[in-house]
Amino acid sequence: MLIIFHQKLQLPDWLTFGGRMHPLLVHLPIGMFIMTGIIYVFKHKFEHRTIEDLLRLGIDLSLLTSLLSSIGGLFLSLENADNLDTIDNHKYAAYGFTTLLMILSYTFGNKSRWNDVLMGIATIVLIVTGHLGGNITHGVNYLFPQKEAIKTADTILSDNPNVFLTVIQPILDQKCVSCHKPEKIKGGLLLTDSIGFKKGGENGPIYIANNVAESRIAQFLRLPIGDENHMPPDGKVQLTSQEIRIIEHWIAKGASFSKTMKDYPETDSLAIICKSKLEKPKAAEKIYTFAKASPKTIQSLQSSFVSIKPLSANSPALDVAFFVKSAFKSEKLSELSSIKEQIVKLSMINMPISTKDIDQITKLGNIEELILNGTPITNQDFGKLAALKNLTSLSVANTSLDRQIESHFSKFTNLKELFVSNTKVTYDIVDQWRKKYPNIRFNILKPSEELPKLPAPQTLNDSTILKVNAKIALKSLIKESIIKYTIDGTIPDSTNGIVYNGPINVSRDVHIKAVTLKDKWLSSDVAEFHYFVAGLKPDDVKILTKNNIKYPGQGSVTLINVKKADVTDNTDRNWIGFKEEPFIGTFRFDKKPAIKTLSVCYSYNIGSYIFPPTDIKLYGSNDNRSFKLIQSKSLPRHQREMPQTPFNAVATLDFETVNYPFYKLEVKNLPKIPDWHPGKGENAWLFLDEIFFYE
Amino acid sequence: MSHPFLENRLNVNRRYFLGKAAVGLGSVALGSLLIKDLFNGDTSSMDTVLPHFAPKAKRVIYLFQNGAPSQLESFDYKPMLNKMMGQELPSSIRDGQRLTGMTASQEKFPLVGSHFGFKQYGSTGAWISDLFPHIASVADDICIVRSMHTEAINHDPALTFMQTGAQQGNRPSMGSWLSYGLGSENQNLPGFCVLLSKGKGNGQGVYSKLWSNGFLDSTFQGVQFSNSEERVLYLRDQAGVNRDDRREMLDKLNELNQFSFDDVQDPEIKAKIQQYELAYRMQTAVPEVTDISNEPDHIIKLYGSDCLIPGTYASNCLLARKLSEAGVRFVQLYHQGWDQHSGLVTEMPNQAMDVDRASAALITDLKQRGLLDETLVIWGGEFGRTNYCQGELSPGVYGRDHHPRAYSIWMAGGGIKPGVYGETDEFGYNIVKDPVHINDFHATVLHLMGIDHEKLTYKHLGRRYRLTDVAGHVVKGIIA
Repeated sequence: MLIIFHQKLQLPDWLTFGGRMHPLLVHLPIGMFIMTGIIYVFKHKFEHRTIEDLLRLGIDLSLLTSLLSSIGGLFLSLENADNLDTIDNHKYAAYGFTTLLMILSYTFGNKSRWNDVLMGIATIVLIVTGHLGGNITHGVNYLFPQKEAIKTADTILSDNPNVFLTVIQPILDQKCVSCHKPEKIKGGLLLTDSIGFKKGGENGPIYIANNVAESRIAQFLRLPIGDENHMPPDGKVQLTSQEIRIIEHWIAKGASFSKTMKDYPETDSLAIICKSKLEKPKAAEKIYTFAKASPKTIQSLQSSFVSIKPLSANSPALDVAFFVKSAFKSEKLSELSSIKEQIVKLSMINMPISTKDIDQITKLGNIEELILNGTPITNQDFGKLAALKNLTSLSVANTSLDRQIESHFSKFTNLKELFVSNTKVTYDIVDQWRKKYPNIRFNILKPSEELPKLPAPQTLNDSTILKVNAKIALKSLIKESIIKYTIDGTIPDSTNGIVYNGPINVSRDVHIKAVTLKDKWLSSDVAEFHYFVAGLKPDDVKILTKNNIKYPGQGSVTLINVKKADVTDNTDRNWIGFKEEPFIGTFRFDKKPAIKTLSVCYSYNIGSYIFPPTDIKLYGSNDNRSFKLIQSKSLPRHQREMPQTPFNAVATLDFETVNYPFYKLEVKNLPKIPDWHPGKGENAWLFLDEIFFYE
Repeated sequence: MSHPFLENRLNVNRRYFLGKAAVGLGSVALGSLLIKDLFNGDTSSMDTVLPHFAPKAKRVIYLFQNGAPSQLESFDYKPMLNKMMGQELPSSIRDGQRLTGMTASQEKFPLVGSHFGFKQYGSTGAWISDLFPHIASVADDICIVRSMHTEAINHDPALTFMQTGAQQGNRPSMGSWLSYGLGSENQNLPGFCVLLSKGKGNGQGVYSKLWSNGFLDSTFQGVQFSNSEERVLYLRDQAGVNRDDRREMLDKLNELNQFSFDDVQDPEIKAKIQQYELAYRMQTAVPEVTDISNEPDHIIKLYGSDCLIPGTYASNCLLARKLSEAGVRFVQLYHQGWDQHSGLVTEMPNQAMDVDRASAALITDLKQRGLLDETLVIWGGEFGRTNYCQGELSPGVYGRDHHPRAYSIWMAGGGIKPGVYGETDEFGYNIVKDPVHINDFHATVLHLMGIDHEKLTYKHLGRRYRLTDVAGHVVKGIIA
C-alpha cells in the first residue's frame, strides 16, 4: 500500500522523525545479514558450541569492524574543515567504543559480572558515537527538521518578495537568533524561521495579530533595559527604535507570514522597506548561474605568474590576475579560453600586452571588471574592449590613451566606471565627458596647483675624507633636475652658484652647499657637506703629553688613521681628548717629503665644554732633538654670541715648503673657560681626530 | 619554556605523525576505492575553503603610527578641554582608570586642550586638526573611528595586542593570519611585507615579534624590507652566477634539506625549502616592483619628493602601493616617533608632516587606479593619549601620557563606509557611543577580507586559536 501510493503520502510532522531514522536503520540489515551469513556458512562448526561462543564471535566481529571503520574515519576526517569539534567528539567516542570491545573480547570467557556492565557501557557509547556521526553527515538539525521554512535568498530576489522574510526575519536573524536558535533555544523559543515565531516559547505565543499592546514580543522589547524580562538581555546588541517600530507595525497589520510586498499599500512602511531592499541587493552576493570550472583545469592554468581564484569559497566566478612583467607570455592568456565563461575579473597591471592579447581578452565575455593599468594599450584596442558586454569597470590608468577613445564610448553598453588617470587625457576633457556621459563615472587625478618641493642633493662619497685626487660626486633623485653648489659659504640658488656637471675636484678640505632646481618645482633645502682631503701619511707619531684618561681614542694612531670622528658623539674612538695638558706630539717622515700645509682637525662643541684651541705651533727637526719653529697661529676665541651648533672644525697653517724628517706639533687648549659658560674657570677640552700634512 | 627543538619534536608528533601515517597507509589501502582527487589535492592549501564569502577587500595596507599619536590633536575634537584648560580632571570621569608609572605619582591632572586648530571637512563634516591638511582633503574617502579602546597601557603589550589580538606576544600577527587563510595572490612575492620608517619625534621600539608567524608555519611570517636602495638584501645573484646555476644550486640544496627533513622531521626544514624557493622567484619580481625610477612626475609630486629617499615614510607608502598592486596580501608599515610625553607642541607637527601628505597620497593614488575599492587602508596607533598634561603645564608646552580607554584610527577603501564612527565624552576620556574593541576591529578586517573570524582557526597546544580568540564582533556600522 505504502509503496503503491507513496506519491500521495502526506506525513504528519511526528512521522518525519521516523523517516529520518532511515540512515540508522539502513545499517542494521547489512550487519545482521553478514552475521547471519557467517553463521550460515560455518554452521557445522557451531553444532557443538555454546551460546557463549556465538556471543564471543559477535564481539570479535564487532571489534574487527569497529577497528576498520575507526581507521577509515580517521582518514576521512583529514579532508574536512567544518564542524571540527563534532568530528573530534565522534572520533574519541569511537576510540572509546573500540577500546571497550577490546576489553570485552579479552575478559569475555571469564564469566565475570563485569561483562554486564561493560556491555551496558558499550551500548551507550555506541549510541553516542552513532548519533555524533549522524550529526556530521546529516547536520545537527537533521533528526528534528523544521518543515516549510522558506528561506530568504531566493525570495528576496523576486520582484514581489514575502514581507516577513524580507523585513522581519533579518531583524530577528541579527538581534535574536544568537539565543533563540536550535542549538540554544532560550525559553523554548525558536526565532530562526516563521514556524518557531508562530509557535512561541514555553509561555505560549509571543504575539497576537493586530494587537501590539498584548503581544509579548512587543512588551519585552519595550521594557526598560535593566528589567529582567527585557529582550535582548542587557549586554547584547539592542534593537534600534526603528526596528522595534517595524515589528510592532507588522503585528498591527495582521502579522501575516504569507503576505508579499504588493499585498500592502504602496505607502505602507513595510512595502517601502521591501522596495528599498529590492533596489539595493548589495548585501547579497551576486549569484552566477554558470557552472564551476573543474579544479583540474584551474590548476593547469595557474602558475606563479597567473593567479586564478574563485570570488568566494563556493562561487563559480573567477578572479584572474597576471604578475611579473618580465615573465608574461601571451599563451598563458589564450589558454584562459577554457575558463572564459567563469572569468569575471581580470587584472593585467603593467603587463606588456599586444593587440593580439586584447583580442584574446575580448573573448572572455563574462568579464565585469578589467584592469589594464600600465599596459601599452592603444586607442584602437580600447574600442575592441566594447565587445565585452558585461564590462562595468575598466581601468586604463598609466597608459598612452588619449581623447580619441571618446569615439568608442557609445559602444560600451554596461560600462559604469572608467579610470583614466595619467593618460594623455586631461582633466578638462574628462570634465566635459562627465557631462556628456552621465552613466559613466570617470576617475582622473586632479592636477595639483601646489608646487612641490624638490629633495636635496645627496652625496655619493662614502667617507668625508677624500684620498688625494679623489672627487666629490653629488646626485639628484629627480630626473631632469639640476644641482647647483658653492664652496665659498654662500647659499646656492637660481642665480648664485656653480652648476654641477660631473664630480668635483678638490685639493683642500672644502665645505659644499648644494641645492636641486627644476622648473615648476620649489628648490630643495640646502644640503651641506664638508670634505677633508687626506694628507701625506707620517711613518710614525708619538704623543709627548698626557691625554685625558677617559678619552684615549685608539692611542696616537688615532691622529693619522684617516677616520673622521662623529661630532655628536664624544665617545667616538676616533676622538682623542686633552684637558689637563695641551697636545704636543712628534711625527716622523722617513722619505722627507716637501710639505707646505698642515691641517689640524678638532671638535667644536661648546655645549660639551669642547673649545677650539688657542695656539698651534709647528716645529721641524733633522735629528728629532733640536726643533726649529716653522709656523705658528693663534686662533680666534669663541664668543658668547656665536652659534653653538657642534661641527667638525679644521685649522690650517700655510708656510714655505720644508722637508724635515721630524716635526713637532703643539696644540694648546683654552686654559680657562670664560665666565658666561657653565664650566667657567676650568680648563676647556681639546678633542682631535686627524692631523693632515700636505705637499 | 622547552627548547625550540623539542617544541618542534612535539610539533612533529602531534601534527605530522597522524597526517603522514594516514596518507602513507591510506593511499595504499584505500587508494583505488576512493575518488582520485582525494590525495592529489594540495592539503596545505586553504583556498578551497576560503574566503568564506565574497570579500570586499583583497588586500590590506596598514599604516601603523608607532608610539600612539594623540587623538586630541588629530581626529577627536574636544573644545571643552580648551575651555577647561588647566583645571583638574574630574575623578568621576577618570573613574578609577589605572595610570602608567609615568603619571601615577602626579599630584595634579590638569586638562589640556589641543594647541592646534580643528576644522570640518567632507560631506560628513568630520573634524580634523590643522596638522593633517592632506588627510583632511580625502575626508570623504575615509572612515574615522573615534571609539577604539584597548586594555593595554604600555607600548609593547598594546602594539602586540593591536597586531596579534593578544598582549602576550606568542600569537601570529594579523598579516600572518591572512596569509595563512588566503594565501598569496602573487606567488613571486611574500604575502606579508613589512616596511619601517622613523620620524624625529620621541620614538618607541618596533620588534620583529610584531610580524611573527607565532604558532603558524614560518612561511607566513612578515618579510621585512630594507631601507637601503636595495629593498630586499642579498637577492641579487653574485657576478658570474646565472639563473641556471642558481636553479641547480637550489635543487641540490633542497635535496640536502629533504634528507635532513627525512632524518629529523623538523617542519621548519620544509618551511626553509619553501622560503628558498620564494626567494628564487623574488629575484625576478622584487627588482620590478621596487623600481621607482619610472614613476611619473605627478606621482612623485603626489607623495612628496621624500618618496624618492629610501627609508622615508613617503617612500614606504609608494612602495606599499606598488607591492599591493603586485598582489601582496598584507603590507604593514610602521612609522616611529609618536610618543609625545612632553614637547607635544613641537614634536607633533614634524610627525604629522612626515605622514600627512603620503598617507593621503596613497588613498588618492589607489583610487585613481581603480584599486581603492579592493584595498583596505588602515591608519592608527596602539592606544590614545590622556586629556590631561603629563608633568607641569605651561602655555604652549605640554605632553600627554598613555590612554587606553579611547583613541582614534581611520580606515579607507576595501568596503569601508566613509564617515565618522563612535563618540567619546566631551572630555575625550570615555567612549559614549559605539565602542570598538581591538577584537572587534580584527573581526571587521577579516570580515572585509571575506573571512568569518570565528571560522579561521588553528589548533595549537590542544585548542583552536583565532585572531580574535574568544571575542570580537564585526562592526557593521563602518561597512559599506
